[in-house]
Amino acid sequence: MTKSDESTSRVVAEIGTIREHLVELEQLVAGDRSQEQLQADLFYHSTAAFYVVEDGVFKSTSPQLQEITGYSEHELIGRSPLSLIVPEDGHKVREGVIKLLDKRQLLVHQYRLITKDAKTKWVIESASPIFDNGKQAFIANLIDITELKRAEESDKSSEEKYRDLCENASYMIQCTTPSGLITYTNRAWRKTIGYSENEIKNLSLFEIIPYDDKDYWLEVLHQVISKERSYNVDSILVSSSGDRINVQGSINCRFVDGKPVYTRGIFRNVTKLKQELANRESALEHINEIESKLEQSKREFEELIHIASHDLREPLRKISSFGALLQESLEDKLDDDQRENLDFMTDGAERLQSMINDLLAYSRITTKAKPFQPVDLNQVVENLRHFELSSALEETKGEILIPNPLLAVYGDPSQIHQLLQNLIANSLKFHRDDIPPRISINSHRTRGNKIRITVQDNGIGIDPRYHEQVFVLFKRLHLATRYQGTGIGLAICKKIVQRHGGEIGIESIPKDGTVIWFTLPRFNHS
Amino acid sequence: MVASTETLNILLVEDDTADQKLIKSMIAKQELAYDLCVACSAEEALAVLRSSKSSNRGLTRPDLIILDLNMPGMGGREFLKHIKTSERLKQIPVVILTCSASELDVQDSYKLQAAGFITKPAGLVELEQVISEIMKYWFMVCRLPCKEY
Repeated sequence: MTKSDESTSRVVAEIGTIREHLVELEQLVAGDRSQEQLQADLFYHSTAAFYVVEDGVFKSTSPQLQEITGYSEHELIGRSPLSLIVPEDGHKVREGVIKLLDKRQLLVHQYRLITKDAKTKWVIESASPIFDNGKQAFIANLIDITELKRAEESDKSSEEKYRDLCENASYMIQCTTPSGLITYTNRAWRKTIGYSENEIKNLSLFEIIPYDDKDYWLEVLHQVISKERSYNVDSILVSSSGDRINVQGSINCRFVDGKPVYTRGIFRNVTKLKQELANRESALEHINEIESKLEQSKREFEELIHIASHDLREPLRKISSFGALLQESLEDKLDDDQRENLDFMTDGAERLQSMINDLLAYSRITTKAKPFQPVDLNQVVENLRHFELSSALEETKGEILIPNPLLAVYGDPSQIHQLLQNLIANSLKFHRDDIPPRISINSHRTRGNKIRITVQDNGIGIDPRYHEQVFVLFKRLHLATRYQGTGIGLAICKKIVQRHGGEIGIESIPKDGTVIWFTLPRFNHS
Repeated sequence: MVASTETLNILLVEDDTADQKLIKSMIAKQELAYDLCVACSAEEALAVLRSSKSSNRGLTRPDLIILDLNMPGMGGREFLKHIKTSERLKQIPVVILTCSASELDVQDSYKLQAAGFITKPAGLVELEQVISEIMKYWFMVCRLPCKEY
C-alpha cells in the first residue's frame, strides 16, 4: 500500500465519522437541547472544521476553520467561502454548491484554499443542505488534506525516479512473463543485445539465448517461478547481430497472492571481463610454461655439470695416477726435456682435476642448497679466522677488522660461510708485496629489507675494465704462476648471493685495494 | 703394532683394470705378507668365494674384501648383501673403495654392514696413503676372525 493509499483510506474513515457526527448535530439543531455538551465537543475538538453557510456567507464557524484558514472568527463571519478558494477551483466549487442546494444532494469535493498568509492548502469538504428559515443554507465540514496531496505528488515523482533509475542504469534490467516473454528492458539491455523497444515487444527470452542453453534457462525460469528467491545466472545472451554476450546477474520473480506474475532480471555484461580473464589466464599459462621449461633446463644443466664433473674425474684420476707412477719409475731414466714433458702432462691433469672439483662445488650451490636460517656473520668471520684462514693469515701477517658488529642475515649458513671465506681468502691472496693485507668488513641496512656487506682490502686492486669479468667462471686475471687458483672463487660468490636474492659488485682502484659489496636478506627478529 | 705372522688373504673386487693395477701396486708397496686375489666382477668374486675352503688346500677364504660399488652386472651393493646374509661369509670385513662420494651410497653401504666406506682419492700419493691405512688397520691393529670357524 502506498503512502497516498493509506492517507486516502484514513480520510475516508474520518469523513464517515464526521457524517455520523453530522447526523447527531442535525438532531441537535432540531431541538434536542439535552445534548448541548456533545455539540460543544464536536464543534471544538474535532480535527475537522465545521461551519454553516447561509446566503453565500459564513454564518457560523468552528475554531478548526480558523486554524486552517488563518482568519479569525470575526473575519470569517459574513464572508463568502468562495473568496477563500483558489480562482482556478472557484468555478468547480460554485457548480458543486449549486447542485447541492438545487438537488439537495450531499456534496464531497476537493479544492484549494488560500490562507490568510497566502499559502495554498488542499481541503476536502463535505456539505449537506439544511433549512434555516427558508434561506439557502448548508452545513459543511472540511479537512486539510495538503499533506496527503503532497504525499501523492511525491509518490508520482518517486515512481518517475524509479523508472528513470531503471532505464538509465548501467546494468541490464529485464522483466519477462513467467513463460519467458520479455515485457520490459532498460536502455542498457537494449543497447547491449541490440534490439529496439518495439522489437522487444514480441521477443521471448528463448530467442536470445544459445540453442544449447535452452534447458538451462527452462530450469532457471522453473526455479524462480516456483520459489520466492533469487537465482544467480552466469550465462550467454545472443545479440541481434549474433554476438554472444556473457552475462552475470540474478533473476527473481514477483508473486501476487502466491502466484508468479513476472520475473525480474538484472545482469552485468561480463564479455570483456571474461575475455580479459581468459587472455590473462592464457598469458599466465604461457609464462608458467616458460618458467617451468626454464626451471627444467636449469635443472638439467645442473645435473649435467654434476654428472659430467663426476664422470670426468674418473679418467682424469687415471691420467694423474699413472702419470705419477711413470714419474716414479722413470725418475732416473728420463732426460730433462722428457721429464719436462711428463711434468706438463701431470700438471695439466692436476689443474683439470681442481677445475672439475671447483665446477662440482659451483653446481653444489644449487644441488646441495639448505634452508635459510639466521646467520651471525661475526661468528662466521671468527670461525674463518681460527680455522680455514688461520694459516693464510699467519703466512701473510694479515688481519681482519670488524669496526662495528656485523648485522645478522638470513640464509644458508654453509654457503654464507663459503662466501666470506672466498672473499677474505682473495683479499689475503692478492695483497701487495711487502704490505700485509688488512681486510675491513662492514654491514648496514639497505632498501628492501636487505643487509649490504662490504669487504674492503688494501691489496693490488682490480682494473675497472675487468670488474664484470671477475665474476665469470674460470676467469683469471693473473698468471697461474703468480697467483694460484682456477678463478672460480668469485663466480661461486656471485652464485651464492644470487641464490639469496641479492646482488654483488665491485669497487676497486688498482694499487689502492678492492671493495667487494654484496647484499643478503636481513634477519628480522620478529 | 704386531704384524700378522700368517699370510693375509685379500679379495679385491674391481671391474676397472687400471684401478686393479693401481691398487695392486699400492698393496705391493706395503711390507706385508699377503695373497691378493682379484675378481673383475661381483659374479666372479662369488665364484671365487664358493670354491674357497676353510682349509689350507686350494683357495683360502679371504681375510678382507675390498669392494668397488659400481660394476656391471650384479654390482657391489648386491654382492655385499649376499656376503652379509651368508652364514659362512658374513664375518669377513668388506671395505668399500669406490669413485662414488654420494651420501646415499655411504648410508646404504653401512646399512648393508660394510666395515668401511672410502672414496678413491684423486692423487696417487693419496691412494697409496689410503691403501697403507687399510692394510695397517685390518692386519696390524684389528684382530680378524679365525679361518677355522
